[in-house]
Amino acid sequence: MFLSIIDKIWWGHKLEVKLDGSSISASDIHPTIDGDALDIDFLTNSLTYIDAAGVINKEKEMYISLLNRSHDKELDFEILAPEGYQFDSMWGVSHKDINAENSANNRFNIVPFQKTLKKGKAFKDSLLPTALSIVKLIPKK
Amino acid sequence: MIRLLVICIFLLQIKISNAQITHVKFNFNEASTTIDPMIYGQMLENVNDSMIYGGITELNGDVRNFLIPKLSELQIPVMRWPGGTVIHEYRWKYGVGPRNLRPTTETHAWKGIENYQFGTDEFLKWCRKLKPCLISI
Repeated sequence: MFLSIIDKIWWGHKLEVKLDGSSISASDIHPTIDGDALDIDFLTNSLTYIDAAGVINKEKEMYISLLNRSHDKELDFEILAPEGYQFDSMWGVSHKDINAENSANNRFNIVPFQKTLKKGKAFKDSLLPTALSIVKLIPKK
Repeated sequence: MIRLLVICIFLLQIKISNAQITHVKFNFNEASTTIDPMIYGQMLENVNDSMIYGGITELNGDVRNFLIPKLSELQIPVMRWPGGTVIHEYRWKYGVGPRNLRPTTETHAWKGIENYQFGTDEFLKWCRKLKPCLISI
């Protein structure tokens, strides 16, 4: 699974993504990691809690990665499919406890999931705090 | 009047509902940027004395070879080491030569220790096993 993520989902051309939703003001963000983050220069006045990035690969499949930056809010999102495309499937990883972890004695506390999506123009779902989901779209046949 | 009030409440509910949903739109044009696979690098740092020792190695610094095939599957293009902030205090010379002669130092970034048992020599050998893997020191 991971191998297919790397060579199919992450390699290709960048999609231009526009986000509109709940956000946090850049002035309210106070980075705390010396060296890595204290000198960060925010290029916008605010950041949406849900961040997204998209790739179109050589097979013309589109993958939209969605991340909930909030540590305590489950957030809804809606994706609109571009012309000529339909939803196919979604892969994700999440947990109600953001401090959850897998260990040698409990290897399946956090388990990625995958599900088939209904074909349609729009897809609605939600993201638990800090959850990651990757939505796949394919050309209409 | 009541009808108008109901309509207003209905519209207000729609507005509140929409405000809670993040709308995602995207498009592609032929001039779009090609994504360079090299951006998907990984970082290896002695975080909390557990990411290297007890992570990719045993606690004594011996490489956990059974993890090599798993890591190779990730096709890591670039491995950043010895880390982020740790680079300010890491001394690569302490990590070469006989392991029993290497010093143990306190780490200021993580308030732990670095005993250099997985040092420069071991990292380079480990990285060669993860082909293809460029390194960034």
